[in-house]
Amino acid sequence: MSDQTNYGSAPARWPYPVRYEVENRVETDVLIIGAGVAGAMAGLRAARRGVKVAVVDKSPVDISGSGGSGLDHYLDCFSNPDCAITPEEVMDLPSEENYFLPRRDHRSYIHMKGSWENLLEMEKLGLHFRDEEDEFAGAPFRDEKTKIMYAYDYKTKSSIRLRGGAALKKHMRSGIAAEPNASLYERVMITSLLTEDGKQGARIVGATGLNEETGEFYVFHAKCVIISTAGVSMQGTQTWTFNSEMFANGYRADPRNTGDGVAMAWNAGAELYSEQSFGQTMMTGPFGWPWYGIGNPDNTWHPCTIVDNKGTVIPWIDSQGNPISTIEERTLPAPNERYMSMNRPTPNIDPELIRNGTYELPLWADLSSLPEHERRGIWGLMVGNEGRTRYAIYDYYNKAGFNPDTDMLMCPIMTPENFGNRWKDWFQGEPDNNKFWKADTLKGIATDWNQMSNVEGLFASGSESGQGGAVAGSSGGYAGNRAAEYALKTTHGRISESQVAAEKARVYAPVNRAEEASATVSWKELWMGMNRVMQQDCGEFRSVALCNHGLMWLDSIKKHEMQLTYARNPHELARVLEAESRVTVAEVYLHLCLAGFQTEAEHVAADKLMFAKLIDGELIRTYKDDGWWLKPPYAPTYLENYEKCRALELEKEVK
Amino acid sequence: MAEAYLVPNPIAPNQTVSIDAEKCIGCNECTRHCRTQTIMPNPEAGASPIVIYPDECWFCGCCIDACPKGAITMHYPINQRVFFKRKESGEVYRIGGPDAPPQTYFKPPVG
Ligand SMILES: Cc1cc2nc3c(=O)[nH]c(=O)nc-3n(C[C@H](O)[C@H](O)[C@H](O)COP(=O)(O)OP(=O)(O)OC[C@H]3O[C@@H](n4cnc5c(N)ncnc54)[C@H](O)[C@@H]3O)c2cc1C
Ligand code: SF4
Ligand code: SF4
Repeated sequence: MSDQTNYGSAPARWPYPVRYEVENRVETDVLIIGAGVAGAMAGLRAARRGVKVAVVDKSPVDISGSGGSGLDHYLDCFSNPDCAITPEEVMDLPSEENYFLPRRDHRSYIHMKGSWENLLEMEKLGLHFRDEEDEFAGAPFRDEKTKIMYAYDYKTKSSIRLRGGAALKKHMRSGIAAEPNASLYERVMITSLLTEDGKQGARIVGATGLNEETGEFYVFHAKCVIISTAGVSMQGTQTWTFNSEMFANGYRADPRNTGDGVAMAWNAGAELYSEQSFGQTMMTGPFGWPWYGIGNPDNTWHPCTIVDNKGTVIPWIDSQGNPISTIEERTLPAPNERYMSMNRPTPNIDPELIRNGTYELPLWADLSSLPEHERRGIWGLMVGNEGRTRYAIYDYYNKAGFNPDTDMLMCPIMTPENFGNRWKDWFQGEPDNNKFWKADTLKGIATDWNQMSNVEGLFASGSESGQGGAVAGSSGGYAGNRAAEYALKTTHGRISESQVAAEKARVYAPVNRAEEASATVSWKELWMGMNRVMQQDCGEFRSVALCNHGLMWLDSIKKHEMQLTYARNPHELARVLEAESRVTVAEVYLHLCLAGFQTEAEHVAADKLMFAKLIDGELIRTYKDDGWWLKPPYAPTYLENYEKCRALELEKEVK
Repeated sequence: MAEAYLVPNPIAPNQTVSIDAEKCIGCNECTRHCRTQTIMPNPEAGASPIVIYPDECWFCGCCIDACPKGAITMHYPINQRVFFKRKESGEVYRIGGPDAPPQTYFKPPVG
């Protein structure tokens, strides 16, 4: 283990100057918390409106966030002029026919409507997503005029392949660095929001932060903030589990997305969306495989041929279940459809044929049988630009002798039923879909047409407000503009020094007690302790009694073990604080479950949407009509509201 | 061989990336691009960085991308190393396995 020179040997000195005692005060108009694909675009757009912007991220912005090592497809781009269906039409589809967005509100509209403009902005920043080199000339997924390459459904054209997507965040960072009004603060983790007089629910006046290299403290004084910290761990991959065995598994969001944004917003009195369905997800779990690194016919690997272990080719069906025979048909809607409905075309795997041995496992993904443009489209264009694929998959597998022209890649092994049911963990290798560890992401901070929450000055964008994906910058850019407009007509609020002092005491406690004999709880153990509570009290069976039991259990941990954590350097300190965020997120889940039970008990009408917040220890529920975003005081159509909100911005552009 | 030490248990995965000290110039570009601080600068100026927190590695490859000297190698954990099958011959190999064939595909990624 020569490369781990520090392992088991005398501890090496921390490589950065340690300055826990230093406090930096920064005055800005707009503060961006988390500069992933959403926050980076928010910072850029806000700065262009002439306000001062501080862009803060725990990680370096050129690689930060779930999209920080790449993105291969740009979904939901219905505003692209060549798309067969418009954002307005998507919003009007009945839910059962809406493959694109099963859950729709003003936020999904904002996300879709700005998607094309956002992509063009990223192109200006340096993302050459078109096939300008004509490498794919003549391919059926390529538009010969625009040189745009589409994915999955070549007729509808709502998903665009991101050539060069691996470098997206580099371009975004350069864009921010070039804006004179924007300042970047990297490796600074925001730990809490500051509110007027330190009161929950009062206007936001700034935030506190910690530098994870030097341990320095930050106080940002801002007129408003945008939270774009992406919630907690997409697809539940590590929500209630902690095990380094699974760290290369699944899709797994950026491990730095630890729910800090949810925790700080909740602590500040923000309302969160609560959906009855929350708590479980059918998406890949911690023991599944990453879609892109394993043989499969979907996602990044669509439309790859699948064969069984004896070489029998599995036949495909179209999106309506009818048999199809050509590779081209796998990329088109059914003959009578304008766009692919609920299902993408898929290999048709009858579980019985696996049981009786007609199909022998494992299955294999046969890239070699595809035409060159599809093969290269998958191995090179998609795998290569997708997050975590350029080195871990593309480069690694090639070096290990894998050759897509001649070789087939193994598919995950699952139960026969799972192969037949694409709404389970299809081709991801985790046999069951109802495990406690698969808690879904929270539905985010509730925001209005301006992307502002119920707390004045607190905006949210990206996955933090239910607008994730490569197109998250669309909501980020929109929120950046709205926040800048808010800042232009507002003055700074007053920071409560006692709130700052209390937060500072919390932040540095694990350092200050590190030498004490009783300080024996590591960040990992605190995280594990929280997981146990949730595995027991917030699993598949939940009840009011269990939720209350879980809250009592967490409270006990908070009062005891959470006061015994230690940090021997700024890295461990950031991890302890992240684990504390996770504990708060767990409490949020339990509170939202309780709010759900109360709603049920009171027989609230099924078409009401519930929002919940905690003010001074009291759980407060609010209800709104489904579709409130198109009812007074708002205009009756999506387009009118969108244009009204953007009026100032568009006026400025015309000038 | 004869020496034995009292050391903490190893963590898993144990080696997610490694640095070739011969190629490394100690510029720390990799440490500057590691979101999890898995690789940290060596306190000794100019020496190769230290892989200190492999149990937090995301396998994103951003360190490799940032290295001007090609000094970093990724080691995908055993539980991710799947099989591939040569279609013509039916031979089966494992990524990183003992009998892996030589590299025959050299095209760079698109874009
Ligand atoms: C491997 C992988 C591949 C993917 N591929 C695709 C794809 O091809 N197409 C697609 O549509 N989607 C894809 N996704 C999903 C997509 O990456 C995310 O939905 C998207 O990044 C969400 O954007 P965001 O800005 O909301 O969050 P992120 O991009 O994750 O950004 C969140 C940011 O907040 C920062 N942060 C968190 N907490 C704090 C704090 N306390 N203080 C300061 N900063 C903080 C983080 O460092 C991070 O930079 C993929 C995801 C993964 C994991
Ligand atoms: S692969 Fe990513 S997380 Fe792992 S050491 Fe390199 S930069 Fe850090
Ligand atoms: S980037 Fe490469 S050369 Fe520079 S310190 Fe890291 S391993 Fe060494």
